[in-house]
Amino acid sequence: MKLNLLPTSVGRESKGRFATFVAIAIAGAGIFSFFYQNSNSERFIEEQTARKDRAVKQAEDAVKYVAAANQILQDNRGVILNANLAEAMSKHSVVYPNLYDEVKGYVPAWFRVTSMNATAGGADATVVRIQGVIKTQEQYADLMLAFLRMPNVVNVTRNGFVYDNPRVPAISTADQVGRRKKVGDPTIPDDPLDRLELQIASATSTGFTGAGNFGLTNTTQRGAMPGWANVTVDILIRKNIQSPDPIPAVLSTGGMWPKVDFAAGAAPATTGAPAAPKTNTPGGGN
Amino acid sequence: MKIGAWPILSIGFAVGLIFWAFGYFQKWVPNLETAEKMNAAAIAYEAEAAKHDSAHKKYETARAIVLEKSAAWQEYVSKKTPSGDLGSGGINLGVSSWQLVNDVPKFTDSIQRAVNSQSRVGGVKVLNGLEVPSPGTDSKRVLSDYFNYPALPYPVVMWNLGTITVEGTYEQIKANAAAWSEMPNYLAMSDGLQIQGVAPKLQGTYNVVLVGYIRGRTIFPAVLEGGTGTGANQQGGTGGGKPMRGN
Repeated sequence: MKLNLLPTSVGRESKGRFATFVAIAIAGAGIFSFFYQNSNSERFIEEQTARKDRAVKQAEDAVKYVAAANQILQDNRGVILNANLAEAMSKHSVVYPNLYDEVKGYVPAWFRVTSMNATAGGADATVVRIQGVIKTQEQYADLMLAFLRMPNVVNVTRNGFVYDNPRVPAISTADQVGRRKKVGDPTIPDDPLDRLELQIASATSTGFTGAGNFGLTNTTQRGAMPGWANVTVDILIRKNIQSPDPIPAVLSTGGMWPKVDFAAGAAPATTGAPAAPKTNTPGGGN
Repeated sequence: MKIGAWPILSIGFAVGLIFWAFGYFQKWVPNLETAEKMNAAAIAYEAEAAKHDSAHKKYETARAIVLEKSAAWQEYVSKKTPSGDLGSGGINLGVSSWQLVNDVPKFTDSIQRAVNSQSRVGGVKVLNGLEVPSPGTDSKRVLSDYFNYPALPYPVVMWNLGTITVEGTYEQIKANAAAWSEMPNYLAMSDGLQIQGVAPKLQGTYNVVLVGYIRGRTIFPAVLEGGTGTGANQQGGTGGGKPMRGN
């Protein structure tokens, strides 16, 4: 058994010193944390503020650039619109001739064209109408195939051909065979004498008829020859032939040109030719 | 008096806690909140700042467009506008309306001659020609009615001249219709070409629009003349009626 021979005050003093040391350490830690929190949190603020300030400058510049760009375009709308209009007008006069050249390459040799026109049907649609003369039912069918070869053709429609090929009729009293004839024509009788009478009766004119304006000396447009047909073909093409509308476009520039500067008693300034464009640079530079 | 270990520890803990709490509640939390707000603001601004390059590009593009269009327009002005001289087929608006009303018919004749000449391009025969509208004789209205000024900020003549019919071969008609874009001194446009007939004598029909921007730096102010002047031709304001001081 061991005996503790030291007085009881010795143990308390050492505990007191240790406690004091620990207390100071804890208090120091608290003080340290105060300064740590203070300095670090302020550093965070400074960092974020600096970051924001940098971004603000760039954002403001961006806004200024956009505003300046819009202002430049706004200030010079008159010049831009007039230049665009002039360009569009200059380009438009060749649109129809070029379109007809393009279509002409697909017109079959046996299709005698008498008229050609085109209509804009929107920003992406043009209808080319071709009127002309063909002879046979087969040509009427081939016409569709011929125009469908064109690039960008959406569809082709046709009308005008009269189907009047001879057909075999049902047997009747006068015709016990069923002789081929055109629909609407009288029955061709079996009796040869009756047939002769029918032939004689069918001769209605003996002079010059001028069918289809053929045989005339003038330049009147020639139509279909006897037995031929006038047909119309509409070709819908994916193409834009819309024309600019100059007068409303020019009128819409009202107030957009550099203003005429009326000095008191003096003649006004600039007219006609536009002034140099205004180009303001953000940030004062130029 | 002796203080025990626990009280000493408690005092130290209390002091530390006070400093920590003060730092935490007075500095850390509010500063972090502020920093968070700054962060949010920075993110928002950075999102806008990210557009800086595209905005700058837009600005440069706008400048380039304006410069390009302006150069193109100057080209049109030099080739597609009538001269400022009556003798060479143009018109000078720097004269009084009393004089202008005498000059405009001559100018109209010049336009008509130009239109007639253009109508025959390609070697076609004109079956139905285009007629330039006649000017009025009212000196108070000539500027507003004929030159659309000051309704527009610059004087300009513009008409839908209507339909022209020409006769020729397919190639002649095609060249004739296309040539309107090359008309000197005026912006002209043919539209809606229709071709019909039997070759070689085809007929081409189309519509023509003519625009003539009037070149010049001066316009004489409205003249002082009695009668029924319109508001439009009073644009000269205080300068109305005074002779020009220079041209």
